[in-house]
Amino acid sequence: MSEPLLKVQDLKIHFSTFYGVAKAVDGISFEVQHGEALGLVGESGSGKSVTGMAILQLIQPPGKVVAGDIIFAGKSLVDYSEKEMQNVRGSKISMIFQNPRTCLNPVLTLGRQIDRVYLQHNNVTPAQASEHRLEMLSRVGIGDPIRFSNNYPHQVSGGMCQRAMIVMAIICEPQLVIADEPTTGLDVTIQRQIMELLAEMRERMNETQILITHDLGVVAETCHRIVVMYASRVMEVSPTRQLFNEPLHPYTIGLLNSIPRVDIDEQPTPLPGYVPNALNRPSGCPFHPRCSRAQERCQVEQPELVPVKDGRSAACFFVEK
Amino acid sequence: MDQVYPLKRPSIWHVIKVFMRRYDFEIYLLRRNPVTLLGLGIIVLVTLIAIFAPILAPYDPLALTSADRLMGPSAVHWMGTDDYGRDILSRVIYATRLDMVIATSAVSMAMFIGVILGAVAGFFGGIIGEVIMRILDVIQAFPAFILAMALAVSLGSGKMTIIYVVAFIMVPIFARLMRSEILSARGRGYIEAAHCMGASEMEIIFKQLIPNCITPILVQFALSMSYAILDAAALSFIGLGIRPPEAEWGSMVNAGVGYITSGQLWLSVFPGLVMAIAILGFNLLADGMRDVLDPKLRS
Repeated sequence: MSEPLLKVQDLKIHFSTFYGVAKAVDGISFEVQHGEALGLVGESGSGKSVTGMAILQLIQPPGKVVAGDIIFAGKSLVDYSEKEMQNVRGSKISMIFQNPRTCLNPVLTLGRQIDRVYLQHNNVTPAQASEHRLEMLSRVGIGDPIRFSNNYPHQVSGGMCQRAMIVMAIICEPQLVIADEPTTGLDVTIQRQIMELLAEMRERMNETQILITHDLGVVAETCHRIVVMYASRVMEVSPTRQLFNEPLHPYTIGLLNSIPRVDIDEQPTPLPGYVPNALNRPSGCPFHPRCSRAQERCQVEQPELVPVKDGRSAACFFVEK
Repeated sequence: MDQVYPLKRPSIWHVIKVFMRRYDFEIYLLRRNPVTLLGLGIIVLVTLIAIFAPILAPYDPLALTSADRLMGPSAVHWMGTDDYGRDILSRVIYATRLDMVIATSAVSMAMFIGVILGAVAGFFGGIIGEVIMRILDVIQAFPAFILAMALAVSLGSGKMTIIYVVAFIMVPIFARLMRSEILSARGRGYIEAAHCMGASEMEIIFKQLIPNCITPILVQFALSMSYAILDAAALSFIGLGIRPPEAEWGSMVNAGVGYITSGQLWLSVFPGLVMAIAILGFNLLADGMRDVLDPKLRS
């Protein structure tokens, strides 16, 4: 296996608040291969978005990366200065946000916002930038790129805003695109279009994607591998098909069982209880208070993420090797 | 087969209508606020008078004609003459020019400096922000006009002095306004997105945040114009600003004060009246602008 494009090693991000230290990310590790689409799934507050921001080195105080390393294309991003990171953001690694409406500047036209990113990272004239922008806009399926460019964000629909965000993210042809819930707040039909667009861009521009979402349906169709996060830790890493066919970790099993299905006449069984507060994680395995298989050992000892089989790994004592 | 309708050549009225429709909403808002329109009209008129002062003034504002001393308003001298026989209408017209230049420069300068200071203080916060805001607090702790007087005395009289002094006492207003706007805007999604796209801090402040926060600043600009006119006139009235031979509203009022008791009211009344109308214009416009630019205040 070749060197992975991105390697997150034992990353720990803590937020020191008035009430104590919130461990938003508590020692997670995963790898992203070249050209791969990796899904990062988990409930709200499981630390997925923070992980995404950490890759871009944009954790704002009071948050802090306290341990661990992020290695991108062989270099550690943690050692980069702010100036060097500014050159990486947008051109090598870029991000697509949820809720495109609030993530576009309301007083600038879409065209100007897109050009700004391109001009920042490339030594080109504004005329060349706008030519490139028009080409990219027609590539993402916008019929009239010139008219679209002159619009302000409030003048176009949510799906169109997201397309503009996507163009902003990929205009410099980054190697890695982090999409943080790119389809939240969009219609189901538009969701599908956006997901297809992302997949198409990945293939055509040979980029690697990390898809952060809580929607298992979205990752099921587009991602090669899935990292399941729960309470700041990675619970399971599996190729998509195996994860859905034969989930290993009790949390993943519970998650899949709580999805309503129309093909079988059975009520979904939700997981009992709630996600533990980030300030007060349970001892041992963070999932043990809600786990059906939990035993005494789970309350004291934290299971490590260990390889199981076929490139899969899980953090549970009771998964057969 | 479909019938082909020949295209009619659009009439000039149609062209005007289409053009008006582009600004439909703005025109509608102005129509609902006729006082705003009045304010705008006054300001346009005052500005035109200021620009075309040499053409409009019937006499030289500085020419002394001792034979025509203290003449009341007449067909020859519409606003009468002063104690040196100078035509008051001409002097008021030239004073409009001078006062508008002073007010516009002073407020522009205050806005420019205030916006930058406020933006930096709001965006970075921390020690930089505290230092900037505390210095501005010190300026605001003085009664504004007393501070202006003290500065004007120490800087000496003249047009530039008034501009600097008025700008100086207005900087904190703009800075505070900008800071509060930036504080509420800097946590929004598009700022985070700009960070993620690799924009530098300076770029985020000047190209993303300031354009988003400029609306209340524009309202404050119009409002400050009236204060600037008043301050400039007041400084000249007490003899700290523009020196007497030159025509300025405040110094003209001052020059006429001694003649009010003897019934020669026109010396003070006309410059005072024009000044009041100009200030009214800016206040009305500021009020209307706030209604137009801030949808929350629309009833």
